[in-house]
Amino acid sequence: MSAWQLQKVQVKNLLGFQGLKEQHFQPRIQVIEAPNHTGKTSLTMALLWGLTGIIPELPRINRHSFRLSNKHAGTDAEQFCVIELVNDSNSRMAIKRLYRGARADLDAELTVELDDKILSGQDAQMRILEELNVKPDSLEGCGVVLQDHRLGFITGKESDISDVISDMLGLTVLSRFVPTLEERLKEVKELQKEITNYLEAADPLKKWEERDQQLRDDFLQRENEAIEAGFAREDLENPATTAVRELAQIAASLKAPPAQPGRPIPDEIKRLRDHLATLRKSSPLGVELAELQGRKGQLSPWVEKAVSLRDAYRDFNERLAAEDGAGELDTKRLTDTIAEKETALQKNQERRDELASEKGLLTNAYSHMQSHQNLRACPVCDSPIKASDLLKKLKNRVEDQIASELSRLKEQQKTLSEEKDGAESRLKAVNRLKDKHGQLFAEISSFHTQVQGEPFCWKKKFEIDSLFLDADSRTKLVAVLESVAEQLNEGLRVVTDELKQKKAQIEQQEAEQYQPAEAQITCVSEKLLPVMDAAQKIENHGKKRDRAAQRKTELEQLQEDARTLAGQLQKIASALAQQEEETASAAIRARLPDISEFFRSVARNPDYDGLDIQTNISRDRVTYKIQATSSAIGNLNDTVGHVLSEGDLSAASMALLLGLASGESHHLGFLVLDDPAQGMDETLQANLAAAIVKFGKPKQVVIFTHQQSFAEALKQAGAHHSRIHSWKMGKVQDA
Amino acid sequence: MPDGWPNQLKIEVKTSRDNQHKLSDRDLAGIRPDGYTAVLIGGRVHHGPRWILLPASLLTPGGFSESTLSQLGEGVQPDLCDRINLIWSDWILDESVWRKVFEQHHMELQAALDWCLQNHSARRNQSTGNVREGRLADALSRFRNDLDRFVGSNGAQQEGFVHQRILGHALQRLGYRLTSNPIGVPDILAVWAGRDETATSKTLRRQLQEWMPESEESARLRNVLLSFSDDALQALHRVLRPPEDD
Repeated sequence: MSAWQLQKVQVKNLLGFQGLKEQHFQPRIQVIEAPNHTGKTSLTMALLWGLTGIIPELPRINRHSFRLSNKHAGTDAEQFCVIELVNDSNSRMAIKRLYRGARADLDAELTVELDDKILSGQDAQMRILEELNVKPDSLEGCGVVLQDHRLGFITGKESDISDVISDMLGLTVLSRFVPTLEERLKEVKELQKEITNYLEAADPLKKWEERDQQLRDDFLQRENEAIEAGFAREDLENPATTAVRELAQIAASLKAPPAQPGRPIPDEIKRLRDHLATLRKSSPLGVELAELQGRKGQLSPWVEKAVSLRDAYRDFNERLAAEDGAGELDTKRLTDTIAEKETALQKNQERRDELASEKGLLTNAYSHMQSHQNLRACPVCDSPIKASDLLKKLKNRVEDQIASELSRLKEQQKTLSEEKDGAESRLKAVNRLKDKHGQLFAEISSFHTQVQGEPFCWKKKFEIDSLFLDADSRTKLVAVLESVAEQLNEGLRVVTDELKQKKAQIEQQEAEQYQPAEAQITCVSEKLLPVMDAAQKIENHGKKRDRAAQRKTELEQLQEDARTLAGQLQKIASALAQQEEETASAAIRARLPDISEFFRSVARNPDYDGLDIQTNISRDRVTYKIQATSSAIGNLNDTVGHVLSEGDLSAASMALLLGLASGESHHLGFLVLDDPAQGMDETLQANLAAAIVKFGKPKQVVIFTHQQSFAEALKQAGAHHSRIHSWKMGKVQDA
Repeated sequence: MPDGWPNQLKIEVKTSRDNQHKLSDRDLAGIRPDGYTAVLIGGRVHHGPRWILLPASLLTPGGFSESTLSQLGEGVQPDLCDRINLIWSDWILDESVWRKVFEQHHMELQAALDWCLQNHSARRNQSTGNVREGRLADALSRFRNDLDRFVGSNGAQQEGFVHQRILGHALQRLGYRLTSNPIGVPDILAVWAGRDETATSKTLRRQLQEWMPESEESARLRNVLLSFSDDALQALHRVLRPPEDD
């Protein structure tokens, strides 16, 4: 894989830069002299962020509140970093990363143009790391070393040192798999644990046994209940056979046809119950009882009816007798009387009308005659007349005879009217009695019809009209009704007695024959069938035993597989670590002379004139320990952080970075150093400048420094020199 | 002799209460090359309690779980094992019989057991399948409790001996003749001797007496059969017995 070198970086409205800042980079060694407050750290941080998308963890930065935005540009301003790179094959890669605040949206913010291809989002990020050949979580491995990081990676935690060294050695491929293997191993061990827990909590065979025990307990309980009900323990060894035998005995006792072979026991129980019900219904005693019950049901309302009719007719008869004494009951006679009275009244009226007419005529004649008292002969026939006689006769006739007759007729009319009214009133009363009598007679006739054919039914026929008028007939009917009620009462008593006897006989039959059979059927149904059911459940459960054993075997096999896999993963991780450690040791051994030489030439420490890197394997990870060594004393192998000054540590870190990065296995084509000579005096600076130029094997080393003397020393050593001049209102002005 | 049954049986008996069985070199030496280890499988999950026969050729010394042994015993002498298990389980299930052993406080266990086996036949238990297995497990548990009480200590060790005797008894019932074995290895040495016809007629008569007919017709048949002589019963058995008995 060809190494990429930085060509240009554009930073717009990020960190210290308002507007667009463009920085070009040169091949080989380049020093960019930048006094304090000219944005060298902003540039290196922008480079780092542009390459990785990560804001580095620095003690001075709170990553929750830290923003890359330039404060002067405003929040709406476009903010981005564009890094252009070129490799040995002259391929070009442009990385453009937009800044959108704390909430990263990789798809929206990152694009990579690689020759003719344009990638974005996660694909783009992966491609950057792939092209640069660095691990995703490596900052230093990207070749950009912040001032803050410079000493940290050499004196920091072992894991940090390991990352840097393995990155710089290009060992990323092997070590990348270790965390993955560890995760898989953890998962496999969790699986093992889960299976173990499952087997402990839900061992299929144990569960089978528990359930089997439950079913057996239930079976024993039912068996005991059956034994309490009278079954022998031996009978319950094969409850189905016992049930068949019991039901066969019951069938025999009930004289039922034998059961069909193989008939299900519940069906046979139902058959016997039905047979028993049929027996109860069809037994002679049952039939007789039903007949008696029917007869009683018939007689009881008849008795009530007969007594009711008897009492009602007797009372009516007494009332009718009283009415008979009080007046005429014969409606015909009463009707005739009324007609006679009406005729007499009509005649009376006609006579009175005649008399009134005569009286009028005579009164007129009388008046006329008085006017013609001198008349001597009749003007019509000329017969002689005597007016005074005629007037006298006329007066006598009108005032005496006619008046007397009219008075008599008026008296007669009054009498006749009273007699007629009396007859009409009587007729109404008699008709009401006849209606009542008619109702009673209808009921009696209906009852007679109902009891027709019964021995107590009367043969004599009664006519309603004659009954009404004839007291003797009515008395005979009362006597008939009394006789019927008496006979019915007696009949009912006899039937009731017979019923009692029948019931007693039936109870005896029930107690001696049917109830024992029914009890036996119930016993089979309620005591033996549950035993059979429980036994069937045990049998069904027994069939699941082999499946449970199979499941357990499978789980155990799975557990064994997981155990084997865990062991294999462990072996792979160990092998990888071993391989990496060997590779690392070899690479370090190869680079160690240059590293030590670099350190010695820069630090020129009187005691410690070399560096050593001890490789080790801890939990399948390769760890590195950096030591300062002394060739003069020999046994001075101390951890660098414990014995070196800040300047020497800077020298050691530069020695490591440049030494490792110049190795064969390192593919990174550039190294960006931010103030690498911090803490060094001018002598060390000069030594470092000379060493960088001498050892700077990476094709491109970009050094930012605020130290004029160091920049000058690098320049003197042959490095390309440029300068960032001034800063105004958030804008840096280049020279 | 039924097909496949060995003419001679050398058997080492193994019983255990913890479902683990140990086989020693000495155990195996006594039954090699063609003998068997009879193992009493106790676990219900392995269809226990039941006897299995394991050919000596399949075995090596060591400790084995019931799971392993029951898998080894799959298909080994299935018919013979079924017959042995039927007789043995009938005996364990018939508590009225084995309680008589533990009532003989004046006797040693061996003597009481032999006396009981000679004088009291176990009733044929009609239970089948998983129900029978469950009953058998419960009965065996009660048997062990009574045995422990009777012997006072070493109940588990004594149990091996008891089962060995019952196993021997079962083999006799099946037609084998036991040979006395003074050195104790193997536990059982049996040779096929054919059916004990007298025993057969007695067994038939007892089975008829215990039979509870389901119908009047069957009851009449039972009464008629019971009126037969022993010779007649034997003849009837010869005619009616399944072909594999021949």
